[in-house]
Amino acid sequence: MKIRALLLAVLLPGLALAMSTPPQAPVAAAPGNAGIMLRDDVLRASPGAAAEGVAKLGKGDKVRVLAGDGGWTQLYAAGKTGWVRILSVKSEVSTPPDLGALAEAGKRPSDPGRVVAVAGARGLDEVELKAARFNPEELALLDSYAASRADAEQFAQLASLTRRDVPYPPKPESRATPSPMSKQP
Amino acid sequence: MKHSLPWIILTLCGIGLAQAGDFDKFLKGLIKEKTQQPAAPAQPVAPTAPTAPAAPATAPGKPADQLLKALLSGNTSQEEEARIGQQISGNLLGAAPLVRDEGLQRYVNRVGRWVALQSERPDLPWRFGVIESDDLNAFAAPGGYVFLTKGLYRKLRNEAELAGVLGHEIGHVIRKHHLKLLQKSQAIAALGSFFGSKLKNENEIVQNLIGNGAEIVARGLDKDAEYEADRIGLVLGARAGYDAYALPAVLAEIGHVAKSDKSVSLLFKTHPLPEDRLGQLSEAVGERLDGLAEGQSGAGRFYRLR
Repeated sequence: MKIRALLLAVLLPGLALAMSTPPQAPVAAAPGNAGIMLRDDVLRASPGAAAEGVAKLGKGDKVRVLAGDGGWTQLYAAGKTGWVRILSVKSEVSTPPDLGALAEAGKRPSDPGRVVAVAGARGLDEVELKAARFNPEELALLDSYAASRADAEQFAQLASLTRRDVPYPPKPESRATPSPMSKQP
Repeated sequence: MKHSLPWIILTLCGIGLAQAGDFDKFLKGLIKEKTQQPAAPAQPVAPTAPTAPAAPATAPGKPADQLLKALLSGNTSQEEEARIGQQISGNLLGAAPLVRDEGLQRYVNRVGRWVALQSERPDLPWRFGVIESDDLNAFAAPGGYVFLTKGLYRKLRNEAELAGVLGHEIGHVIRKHHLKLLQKSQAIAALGSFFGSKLKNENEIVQNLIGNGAEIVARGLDKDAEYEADRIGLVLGARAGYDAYALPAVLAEIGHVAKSDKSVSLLFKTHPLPEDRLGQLSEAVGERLDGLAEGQSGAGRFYRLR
């Protein structure tokens, strides 16, 4: 996330030049992107369920999305800055507009802040997939890496990963009752 | 696909009438006819395939016959599923080989198997592989095959995110999404074989069913299958003890890649956009995870690519 912010910081002036528009000054009153709360949730002081709550937000509340950190999203809302679960909020502008243009601008050799395309970047498109020929050696190699049940269980134990009982949530449209932990049929 | 189905049914009915018999008989006849043809060069993948010239017409119950029937009826056995998955995976690996890093591959297999153990099909012969491609993508094939690209692996920040991505693909396998796709399209393959194909053995039948090479993985499933796989991936990761929000975090990360970037062109062509997937997950999850203890990120032992 921090890396992305840095990257944007480097790229944005380049984009501004490329689009011949003056660089936008940060607006203190409305930082970040517009967002909307998808459910009631507590705004927390730091990313963590045990972190202190700083405000209560309601479904439909308009917020400003500042940053992300794994499964947490940083918001500015109700005059406070804090964190909610990533699924609690929807960023209305998930990608900055003209990011395509940004990428294009980034590819210009003259652009000092350009994204350097990896030399010999290897894609995997439909044409290649269609033309693919069966490779028995690779398949045998794949088999040789397989992990047994016991192997996987031991591996989980090493990291103190323990099984938890979590039912599958049903498809949203079929949600008949809003019971929080209803069993999957 | 959906639009072509009624047409296929109509056509099949037509053939049924024209043959004045049931389709089953027609298929059996087809297989017999084909196995009686002179031998073709043996396929390297199946030394056991019938290649003897003028082999006597085989009794019903021949594997190839069974496979077609199983696909037509939608009742494939685990072995048949694996057979199809093997062909698709072998082809996919022909386009993008495994990353030559044994530590990485073994690590991914252990994480993947642990996640798969939380599913309804824990004992499939699960295989996980990181393939050589800078694209961001992941693939599944029937019978327990799961692949992700090196490009996507590089985007991941911890083991929980890897578990979420693998969990999504495991979801496709356990809900047989690709088999269902094949079932919808195999009628076309059956027609194709009727109109002058050269099916000689099981390999050819499988290949004929899955199309050219590994194109089936580029075909894309319907949106509902993707949303379902997201729900399963999130839940399997959580069951395995990982941070339940790791898969959404990966989706958000992918959402930040420019839509025009070549590395996501196939991914975005075959999947709903990340923001839609996140919206669907939000709606499905609601408050269901609120009581769940914080899972692990597994950042400490995450295998870093060389």
